[in-house]
Amino acid sequence: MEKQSSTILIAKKIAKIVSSRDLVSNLEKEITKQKHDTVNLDFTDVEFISRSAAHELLRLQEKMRTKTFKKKIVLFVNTNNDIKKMLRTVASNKAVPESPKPKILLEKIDIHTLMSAASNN
Amino acid sequence: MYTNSSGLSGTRSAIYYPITELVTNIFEHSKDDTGFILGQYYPKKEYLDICIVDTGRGLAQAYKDEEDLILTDSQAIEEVLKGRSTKPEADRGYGVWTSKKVVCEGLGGSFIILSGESALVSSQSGEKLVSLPDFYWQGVTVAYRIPKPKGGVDISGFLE
Repeated sequence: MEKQSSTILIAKKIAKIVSSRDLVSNLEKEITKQKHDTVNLDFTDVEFISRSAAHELLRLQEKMRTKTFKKKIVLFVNTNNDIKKMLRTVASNKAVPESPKPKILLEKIDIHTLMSAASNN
Repeated sequence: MYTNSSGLSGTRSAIYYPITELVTNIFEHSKDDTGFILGQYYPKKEYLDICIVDTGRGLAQAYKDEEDLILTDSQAIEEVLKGRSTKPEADRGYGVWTSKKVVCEGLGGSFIILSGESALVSSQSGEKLVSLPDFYWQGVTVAYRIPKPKGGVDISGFLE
């Protein structure tokens, strides 16, 4: 039976540590030219993806799914636990942020005061 | 250090996370195509120092260029820590403050971000915004110290 999906090996195409948004967004052309409608992004041998890369991968997945022409179903396969967690965290935060971004109230001090306080301690 | 801690669950992600986010920021925000990363592991003291540096436009200039927002260096650092991104997408601006959380809360380390004449110094004993009279760094410097992990780390709780 003929295979129903194409596969792109991320470790070979990008790297074992994927951190750049640009490299991920460059995958779009590669995905578009695959002959099957389903494209597996295979994370075998990929150790880690950054939050930014995970965000870009999820955006790319959504973009390919909702295109008017040459739609593709993009699947993430053979992901290790760290990559799974990163994708799930970013996806769930994208859908429903856990908490608003931080409110901060910082004490302001000059470096000389900080250094003398540190040396007194 | 990651190799030494490789038996501990999640340490790989905890060490990679801030490096990947902060290095990516150089190429996305600094308007410079060069950055520097320095690292030193101290096996007897059991900590790792990392410093990620660029000599680009700096934080305040980035807000001015992208959002027409006039800020002092210390105000710009505060905005970065609040997660204010210069990018239009809603779910951006997580890199620096989540990296700080991973380093300080996840790994028990300390974290400094410096731009222009101001710096944030964050450690277990608290956070301070520090003015640096007679000093100016053109660009952004991030430096942090991570003690050797004693147990597993799950960074997912620090990423949002």
